[in-house]
Order: sequence, then C-alpha cells, then structure tokens
Amino acid sequence: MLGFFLISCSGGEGSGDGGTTTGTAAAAPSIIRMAVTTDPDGLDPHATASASTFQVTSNIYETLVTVDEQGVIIPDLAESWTVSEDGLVLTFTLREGATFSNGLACDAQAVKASFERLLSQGVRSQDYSGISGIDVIDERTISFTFSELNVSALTLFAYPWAAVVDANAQDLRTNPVGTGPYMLSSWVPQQELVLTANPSYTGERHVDTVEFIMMPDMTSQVTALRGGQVDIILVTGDLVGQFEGDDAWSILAAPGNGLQLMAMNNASPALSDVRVRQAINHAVDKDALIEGVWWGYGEPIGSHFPVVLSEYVDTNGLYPYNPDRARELLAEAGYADGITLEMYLPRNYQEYVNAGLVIADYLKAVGINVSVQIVEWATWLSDIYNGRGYDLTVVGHTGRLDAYSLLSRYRSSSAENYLNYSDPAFDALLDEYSVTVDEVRRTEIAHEMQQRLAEAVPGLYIQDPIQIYVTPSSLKGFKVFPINIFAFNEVYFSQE
Amino acid sequence: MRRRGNPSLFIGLILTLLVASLGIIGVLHSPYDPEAMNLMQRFNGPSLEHPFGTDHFGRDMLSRVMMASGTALSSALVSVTLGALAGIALGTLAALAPRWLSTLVMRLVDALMAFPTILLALMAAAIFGRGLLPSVLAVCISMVPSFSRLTQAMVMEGRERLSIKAARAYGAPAWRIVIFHMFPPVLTRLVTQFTSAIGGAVLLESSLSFLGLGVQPPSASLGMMLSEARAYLLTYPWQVLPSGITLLVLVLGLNLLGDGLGSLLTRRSADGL
Repeated sequence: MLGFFLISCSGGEGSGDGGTTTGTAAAAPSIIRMAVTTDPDGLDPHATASASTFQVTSNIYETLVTVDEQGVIIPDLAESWTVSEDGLVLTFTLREGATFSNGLACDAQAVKASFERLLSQGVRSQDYSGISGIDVIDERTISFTFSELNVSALTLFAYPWAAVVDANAQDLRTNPVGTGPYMLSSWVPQQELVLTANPSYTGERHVDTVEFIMMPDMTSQVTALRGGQVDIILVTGDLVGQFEGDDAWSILAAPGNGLQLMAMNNASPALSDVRVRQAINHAVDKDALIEGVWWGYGEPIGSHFPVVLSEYVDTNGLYPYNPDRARELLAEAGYADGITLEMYLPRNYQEYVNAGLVIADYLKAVGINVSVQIVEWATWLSDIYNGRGYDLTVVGHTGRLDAYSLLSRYRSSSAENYLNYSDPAFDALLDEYSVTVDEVRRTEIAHEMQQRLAEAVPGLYIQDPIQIYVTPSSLKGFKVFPINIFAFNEVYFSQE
Repeated sequence: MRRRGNPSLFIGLILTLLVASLGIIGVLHSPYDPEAMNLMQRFNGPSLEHPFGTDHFGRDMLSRVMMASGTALSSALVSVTLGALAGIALGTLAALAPRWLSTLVMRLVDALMAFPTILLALMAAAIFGRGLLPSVLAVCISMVPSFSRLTQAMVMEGRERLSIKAARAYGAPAWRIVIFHMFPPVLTRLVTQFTSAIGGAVLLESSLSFLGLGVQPPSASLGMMLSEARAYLLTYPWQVLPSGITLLVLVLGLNLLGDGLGSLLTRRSADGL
C-alpha cells in the first residue's frame, strides 16, 4: 500500500514535471512564420539562381558541406572529407543513414546522380565544369576529381545550388525531395509556403513547422509582426527605431555577404577614361548616400569585396568626397563643359533606385548630367547585364565564399563582366590565385586584386549592406549566414 | 437671371485657382530646385524655410508640389482637349454617317470603353515606354468614349429639332448645319463634361504615376510623391499630406467647378430658349 502510494506519488511528481515540460512546450509555439517578399521560383535548387528560393530550399535539401556564420566550412550531408595531396581529388564520407524524405536511402550513388543532374541541367553547371570525374567508392564514400587545381573547390559543395536532390524524383520544382530537416507540406503561390518536419531527418530540430508568408509590403510585415502573425521579418533601417529599446523584440543586424555598387560601363567613351571614373567617385559623399538611402545601415567599401569575408582589405578613402577635385579631374579629361550619361535603375529594387537618384543629384553638382531611366528587372538583365548597353547602373551582388568566384567577373573575357573592365595584370592575378595553395600568398593576391579595383574604380563601390531582422525576443537561434541559406532547424522559442 | 445660389461654381473656382496658381508660381519662381537633394535635411517638418517640409531626399516639398501641380493640370488639359476633339469628331461622324459606319464607329468606341484605363496605360507604356507622354496619350484615349457618345446622342437628338429641319429645308449644307445649328446647344454640355473630365484626368494621371507608369523621377508628380511617401507611412505619416491634400483640393475643385458650370450653363441655355 505504502509502496503503491510512493509509486503513485513519484508518478504524480513525474507527471507533474512532465506536465510542466509539455505545458511550456505547448506555450512555446512549435511553428516559425517568416514574412518574405517574393515567392520562390520553384523548389528545385538546381534550376534557380534566386536568393529567396535558396532561403527556402536550404531547409528541404542538404549540401555535402555547409558553412557557419563566419563562412567556415562545416559538415552537412558529408560528415568528413579529405583532399588529395595534389589538391585534385576531394573525397567525402556521407553521414550514416541519410535518407530522402520519400524514404529512399541517400547513398553515394544517389549523391553522384544528383551531381550529374546538376552538371547536365543546373543553372550554375558552368561553375562545376572543372569536375572531370565522380566516383562512388563505397556506399558512403564518394570522390570528385577536378581536371585542374582549384583551391576553392570545397566551397563549391557548400552553395545551396549544389544541394543533393533525389535525381529520380519527378518535378522537384513543386515536389521537392531532399534529406534536410523539413519537407514541403503545402504551397499556395503568392500566399504561403508551409514546411513540415521530415521524419527521416535525425539531426537537430526544435520546431516542426516553418511557414513562409508572402507579404510584399513592408508596412504590412511590421503590422503582422506586432500582431503576432509572423515571427521573423527583414526590415529597412528607418523601421528599426520603433523596435529599439523594447525588450519584446530582438534585432539582429549583421553585414551580409554582399555588396552594392554603381557599375560603370568602362567601354563607354567618357567612362573609359579613368579620370572620369575617379571624378565620379570624388563627386559622391558615400557616407551621406548610405545614411540617406539605407539609414546608415551599411559598411562603406572601396572595392568589390564584402567586409565579412576573411580576405577583405579596407580600401576606403582613396577618393574621398571632394567635388572640386572631381571638377578638376573632369576638366583634365576634357569634359570641362560637362557630360551626359545614361543611368538605368531596376524598378523592383527601390533602394537601388533611390541610391541612383541620389548619385545622379551629386553628379549634377560637378557637371555630369545624368538621364535616369527606370527599367523592369527583365529588361535590366537583358539590356544592361547581358547587353551592356548603359553608362551607369546601381545594383547589388550576393557574395561568394572566396575571392576567386567573387572577382572572376572582372576578367576581361568573362561573360559576366558587364562593367567591361579590362586589365591584363588583374587577369594574371586571378590566374595565379586559382592555383596558389599557400594561404598567405593567396590572401596577398586577394588584397592586391581589391587594391587594383579600388584604384581603377570600374564602378562606384558603395557598401556591404547590413541586414536587419526583427524577431520576438523569445525566438532564439536565428542566424544570418554568408550565403543565402537559413537554418530553421536551429531556431527555437525560449521558455522565459 | 439670378447669379446667386451657385456655391459649387464659386468654391470650385477658388480651389482650382488655388492649385493652378501654385503650379504657375512654380513655373515662374520655384522657392527651391524641386529636384535638388539635401540628405542632411530629410523628413523635416513644416517650417518657414520649407512650408510643406522636406521629403526622404531632403527635397523641398512645396517646390515639388508646385512642379507636380503644374504638370498635373497641364497634362490633364492637353490630354482632355485632344481626347475631347477626337471624341467629338467620332461622335459627329457616327451621328451623321450611314448606319453601317455609325454602328462600326460606336461599337469601336464601346470596345474602347470596356478597356480599363490602367490596362490601356500599361499598353501605352509597353509600346512607347514610360513617361509623361505615354501617360498623356493613355488618358487622352480613355477620354474619347464619353465625349463621342455624348456628342453622338446630342447630335442625333438635335437632328430632330424643328430649327434643324428648317435649315435643311432651306438647303443649308451639312457642315453649316453641324457647325452653326447643332454645335452651339451641344457646346454647353460639352463644356461641363470637359471640366469634370479634367478632374478625372488629373486623378488618372496620378494613379498612373503612383504605379510608376507616368512621370519618371527625379521629376515630381502628385501620384509619384504619394507613392514615395507611402513607404514611410509608419515612420513619417505626414509625408503623404502635401501631395495628398493638393490632389484632393484639385480634384474636388475641378469637380465642383464642373457641376457649377453645368448648372450655370443649363440654366443659361434654358433662359435662352
């Protein structure tokens, strides 16, 4: 009787504890809702180049390796890897028991099939053209052979577009099959996309449901956050003030891996003269520009390099704000009577439009007349980026993990060299970087490349934007990564 | 004839002139360059230097409102005048032409009427690019149906009038009948229609520039100023006021003016008969 009493008592205590635990678990919501401005363009990571899509797909699929907040490569689907002595062969060992959300095993054969799919039909397949062979060594071991030395080869396996998919699955755009912590539950385009826990995933995961709610309008996002309809929003600098100093909200502001610049067409007659480009750099007060358009939320840069990368070197201050010097340089270049330049701005990016208008106003003050045209994104891509028919344009670039892939667009022959920049010495540095194994020397080269760009100013480098996320302060574990991924499996609600 | 008892006309005239004078002063002597930015002076509230405050680039809002009012009124005048001329011509043609041609013209006008103006403007923007001219063209085209229907109806109605029949019996040529006998009574109605159409055109042009289809930055237009201010609705809600109130006053003024003019002229023509 006594025994029974004790048992029931301890049982009572136990269920009391259990009650507390489940009680708080029920109180802490098991769903994370993030407001996003754009619908993903399908959920096939090989078939897109869109940052907003990768932020969703990175929770459905895994990559062989991934990065931490500092950009250091860490295990993901592969638990370990080795690099051969000559640097040409990368061998990955897969996590034991990795399984796709459809129940099929994700073994080395499946990984090989996924990379073959990436190579044959991926949007970014060109980045992987250096891979000459993929060999399945055993069920959990796979090796990639490169035809020539590429010191940043490992980072290729961390980008979200290299995600491992079930290559046999039909129509990944709407029926994604991956090994990640979540799988697609429902998707109503232009409204919401719901992810639910993938039962075959065994790693860290605190919350079972992740919802992406489409809200193109910033005002409604803020209202929804305050009303408790969403948990994470990305805000602009002017809205931070209303959340600051309030314990109910936490603000995560970190420089992203990206950069914004006013690109100049170095092949256009006036802008091919370095003095004109320098004059333009002297004419603009960069700090006021960042303050004016981004509310000061940005790190000024002097070259094509985000401040968050380890190879960054500070090249600011080469051409400080000095309208008189700008006028002198223009006069030296033979444009004392002024020039007219055409500026094209992408309509959907209001901040680039605003930045362009501010720059145009600064340039007017030194005698450069800018005629502004605001164009659709598709027009921008075809006429400006690919057609290169422009003088000036303001745009942003998302960062990469290493200097080579970031800066290779400045190679004279690059298809992505929409600035028409041409410098044989810079090309030689790029070549040297890609085959230099010694890390110290490689960093030196990266610095030298940044320095060359900062001096020749093929563009007006503006800033590395600071991304500002606002969440309720009970939400923890939300991180910003140097590539376009989110890790919602690490997010949880604290019990405080 | 009593001239009292027409407050619509009076108030409408005052409101319209108020905004029109803003526009005219802006052309003659703008307090500041409406496009000059001053990033250190953003979102300043109303003050002596900047009676309407400054916008998100530190531009003087009074100067911008002046520039925008001028653009709004002149573009509305141009587009409604062109639209009205085309509409009147088509309406007269439809009323006097043989039945098959008349049917063809009026069905075309009906088809035009069925088109939402914004869609029309998008088409114009796709063909001619964005800017003031395509938007004027779109507004102009959207004005055609109402004018042509009005003209057609009134000419048809007038044709049956005794005086016209008499003129025809005297052997007056068709053009003479149209210009000297049919047009004058139609004119009063057209003037009324014209005035209120200008109000509609101002609103339409503003909607187009709100959507980014009309006047392009850095120039100012009321709709664009509203759309720019909308981004700061949470932080600087008063930013929408200068352009919003100007638009309200202008459109209200034009509509009242149209009403007032309408009742004045119909009374006059009633007196005249």
